[in-house]
Amino acid sequence: MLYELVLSIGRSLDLSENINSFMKTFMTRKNYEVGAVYLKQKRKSQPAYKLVLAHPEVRVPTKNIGANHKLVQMLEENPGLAISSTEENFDALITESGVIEGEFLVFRLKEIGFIKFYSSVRKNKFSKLEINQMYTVIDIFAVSIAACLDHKRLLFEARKREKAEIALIAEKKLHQERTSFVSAVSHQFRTPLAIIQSNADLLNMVLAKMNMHDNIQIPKITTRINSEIDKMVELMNDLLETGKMSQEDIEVKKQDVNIESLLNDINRNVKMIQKDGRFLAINVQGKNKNITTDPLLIGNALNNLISNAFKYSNDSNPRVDVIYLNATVQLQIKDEGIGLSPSEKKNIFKPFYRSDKVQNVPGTGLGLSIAKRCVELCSGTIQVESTANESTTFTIELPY
Amino acid sequence: MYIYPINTQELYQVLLKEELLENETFCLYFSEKSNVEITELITLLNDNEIPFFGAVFPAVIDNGKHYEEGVVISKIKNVISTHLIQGLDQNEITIPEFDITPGKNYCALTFVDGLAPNISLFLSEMYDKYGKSISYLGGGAGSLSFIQKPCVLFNQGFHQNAALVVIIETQVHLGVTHGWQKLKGPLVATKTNKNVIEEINWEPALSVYQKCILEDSGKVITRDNFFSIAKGYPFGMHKEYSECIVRDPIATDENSGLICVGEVPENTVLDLLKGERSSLIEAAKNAAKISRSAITSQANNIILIDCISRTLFLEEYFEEELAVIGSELRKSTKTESLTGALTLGEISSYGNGNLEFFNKSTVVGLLE
Repeated sequence: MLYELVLSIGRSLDLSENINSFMKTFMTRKNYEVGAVYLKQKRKSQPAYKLVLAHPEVRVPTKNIGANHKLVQMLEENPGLAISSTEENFDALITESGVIEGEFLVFRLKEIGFIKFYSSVRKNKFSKLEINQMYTVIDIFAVSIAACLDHKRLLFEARKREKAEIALIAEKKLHQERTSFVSAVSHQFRTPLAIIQSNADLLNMVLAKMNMHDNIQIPKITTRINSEIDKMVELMNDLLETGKMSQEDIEVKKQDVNIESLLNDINRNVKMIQKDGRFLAINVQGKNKNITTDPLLIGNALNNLISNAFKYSNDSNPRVDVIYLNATVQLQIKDEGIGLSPSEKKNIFKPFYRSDKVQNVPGTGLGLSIAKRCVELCSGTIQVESTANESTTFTIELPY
Repeated sequence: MYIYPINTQELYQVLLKEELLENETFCLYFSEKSNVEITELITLLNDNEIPFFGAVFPAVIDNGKHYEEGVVISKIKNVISTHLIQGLDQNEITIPEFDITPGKNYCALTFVDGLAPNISLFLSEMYDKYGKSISYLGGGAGSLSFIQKPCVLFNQGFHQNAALVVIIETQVHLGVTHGWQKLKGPLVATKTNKNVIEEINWEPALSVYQKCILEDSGKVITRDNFFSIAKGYPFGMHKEYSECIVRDPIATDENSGLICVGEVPENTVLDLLKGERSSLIEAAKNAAKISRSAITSQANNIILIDCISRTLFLEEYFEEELAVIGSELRKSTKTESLTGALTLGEISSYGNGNLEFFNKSTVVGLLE
C-alpha cells in the first residue's frame, strides 16, 4: 500500500495532476470519501491557507482557512492527526459538507500547507504507527508539491520574459519600418522641392530679363515659395537625421576631440548666421583635455542646442560653459529665454514635440530628440534644467 | 416486460400499446441480438413524442431470467432529465449541469459505453461535481464481441464512446458485491495505459498472468483461449474496509498487454482473484440483502446490473444467482418490476469513497 502511494507521487510537474494522482489513490485504497489540499498563502493580507484541490469538489465549500483555525493550531503541535467523531475536537475540524460522524485524517505538508481526508465509514482510527508510516510518504508528497510550485513560478516567469521579448522584437520591427518609410518619403520629397525652388529662381530671372522689376507682386510670391521650401528642406533633413539616428547599427566613429576647438568652429558658423548682433559666450573651467568621441555626433548635438538657445531667447547672449571634471566633461548650454514649464520639460526630448507657445517659431520638433540620441551614442548623458519665462540650461556630460 | 421482436416495427407497435403515464419514461434494455434497427426505432418513437432511453448489452434480465436475444421494456417514473456525455475516448471530460434541487433524492441511472477508455475518469469527474448529492447506478453497455459500436440511445440518437446519465427523482437503495477471492498477490501493475495492463512486476503482463494461472490450474492461457480461461481469473485492486475493486481482463493486445474493462492506474498493487460458484452466488444474495435492508415501501423499479462475465463463469448456475437475488428481494418487496442487464462493468455509489467502475460484480438497485 505504501509502495503504491509513494509511486503515485510526483508523476507530473503540474500541481493539480500531482495532487490528484496521490489524493485519489489514497482515497480509493484507504476508503476516504473526501480529500482536500490547502496551501499557505504568501501575502499576509490573504487568509493563511487556500484550498487548491478537493475531491469531490462539491463536498468542500470552505475555500480559505485562517491561521487561527483550530486545525492549524493542532497541526503546529502535531504534524499528523487522526480525530474521530467520538473525540471533542472533531466538530471544530469540520470544513466539509455532509460530515456527521467518522474520522478526519490530516497531515502537515512541511511548511507549505496541509492535506485533509474524511471518511464516514472507517471502523478503526488511524493508529499512531500508521500515522508515522504515512507521514514518511506525506513528506515526499510535500516535496513534490514544492517542486510543482517552483515549476509553476519558473514557467510563469519564462512566459512573461518570452512575451516581453516578442513585444520588444515587434516594437523594434515597427520602429525600423517607420524609420525606413520616413527616410524613403523624405528622399522622394527632395527632388520635387528642388524643382520647385529652381523654377521659382527661374521665374525671378525671367522677370529680370523681361524688365518687369516694377511688378512687386511676383518677387514677393517667389520669396514666400523659397521660404516655405527652406522650411520643408529643414523638416526633411531633420526627418532623415532622425531616421539615421534610429538605426540600431549606427556607426560611432570615435577619435580624440578637442571640445573647445569644436565649440569655436560652431561659434564661427553662428556668427555668420546670426544677424541680430548676438553671439555665443564660451567659458571654460578647468584644464583643457581631449575627449574620445565622435565629433560629428557631438557637433550635431551642440549645433541643435546652440541654435535653439538663440531661437528661444530674444535679447541676451546664450552661453556655453565647459567644465572639466575628473572623469567627465560637462557642457552647459544656457539661455535666458522663454524657459520650459515642468510638463514641457517632461516631453522636450520626444520626437515631434513642440510647445504650444513656440508654434509661431520655425522648427520641426526633432532637434532635441536627435541631440539626445547623438549624446547617448557617444556614451554621454543630457539633462535639462529650466524655469519658465526665465532660463534654460541643457547639460551634456561626456566621458573622456 | 420481455419481448423478442421479429423486427423494429413489432417492437414499436408494442411500445405504442404500452401506455405511459405522464411522469413515466421507457427504459429499453436491448440485447445485442434484438432484431431491432435502433436508429429507425428512435425516429419512430420521436415522431410519436414517446420519451425513452436505453442501451445495448450483451444480454438482458427480466423478472428472474436472462436473455441473450430480445428486448426488455421497463417504465421509469420521475425522470427529470437525460444527459449525454460524449468523448469518453478523450482525456478531458466535461460533466453537464444536472437539474437537481438540494434536499431531494436523486438517482443517476448511468449507461456507459463499456469499451470506452476513460470510464473511471468520467465517473470520477461526475462524482467530483455532484458527490453524494446523487446516488449512482448503472453499467457498461456494448457487445461481447468487444468490437466497439454505438450502444447508448435516447431521443437524440445512438452513440458510442459516450455515457447516458438519466436523472430520476427517487430514493434508491443499493447493494454491490462480487464474491471473488484472492488467489495470489501482491502483484504490481508497473506499466499501464488506461485500461491496458502492459507490465506486471516489470515483466510483460501476459507472461506473468500465464505463469500464475498455470500454477493454479495447470492450464496454459494463450491469445486464442484467453477469454474462456481469463473469465475465472480477474484482478483485484485493494480497498480498505471494503471488497476489492475487480478488473476483468477480457483480451490481450499485440504487445502482450491485458485489456481490462475499466482503467488500472499505473503502479496499482493488484491481487489475482479466483471465483468459487458458492461465493459468487452468496455475494449476489448479499447485494440483494443490502439493498433491501433500508427499503421502507414497495419498490417501483428493481434494477439488476450483473456482470456478463459472471454468467460466463457460472454458466448454468447463473440462473441460481438470479433466483437467490429474487428470493432475497421478495422478503421486502414485490419483484415483478425486476429488470436489468448483463453488462461490461458495473456502476454503483454504494459504500464510501470514489464512485468506482466495478467489474464482475452484482449491483442491485431498488427505486422507491
